[in-house]
Amino acid sequence: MIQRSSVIIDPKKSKRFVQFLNSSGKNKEFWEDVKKGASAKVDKKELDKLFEK
Amino acid sequence: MKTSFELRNIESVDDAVIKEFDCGNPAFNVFLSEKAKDWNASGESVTYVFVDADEAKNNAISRIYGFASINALGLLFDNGGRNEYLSCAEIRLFAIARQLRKNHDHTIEWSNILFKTLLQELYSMSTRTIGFKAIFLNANREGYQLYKDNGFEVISEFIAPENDSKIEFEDCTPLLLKINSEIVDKIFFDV
Repeated sequence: MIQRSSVIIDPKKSKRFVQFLNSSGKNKEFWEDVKKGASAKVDKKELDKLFEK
Repeated sequence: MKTSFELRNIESVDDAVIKEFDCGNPAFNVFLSEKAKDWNASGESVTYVFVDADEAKNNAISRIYGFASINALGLLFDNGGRNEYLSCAEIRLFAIARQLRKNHDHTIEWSNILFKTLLQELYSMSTRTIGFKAIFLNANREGYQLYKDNGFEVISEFIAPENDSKIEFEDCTPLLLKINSEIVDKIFFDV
């Protein structure tokens, strides 16, 4: 795989990119939804059943 | 009996358990079993695996449900004549066990649960372990909708053409999720 540690934004589009950055970004409700989804309990038996050979 | 998923560094998992993992993509399977620990050691990326939270607590991990490899990335851009750098965590690879894939026709969105587990962990890292302002990834066709459904936005139109040679996978779309630094971290911890 080719290694890279940076990505360059096209200088001709940087103004629009800055506008995009200023208008994006997640709020508290988003992260609460993430937390709720991440903490979902799953049925262990159902999970084991999926991995039965 | 109910359980939940948790992320653990691949270093804490036996090689025998790692070798059992199968996401249906041989390249990803080989990466996990043969390269992930080397990449950890060299700083190329750090691989985390999704495991049963109870098994993790008891140090008895018997199965991997998915994995994610994370590394640092900078987005360089010009902001009104000033060179700026947006610090990002890149999700270099993300895969879930083939047994949990959607085409098994079940009502639980396993990929969503696992991906949200990852997002929560990354948010916590961004404010407690190493600061970064956004999460970046290159989405293949298979994962694209999952990432879009979880708030990622397409940024391919902004990327300079000379970066094309750095894209590792064909037919991938660069996506970005900006973490709002004003969000209070308390929501992830019981006070």
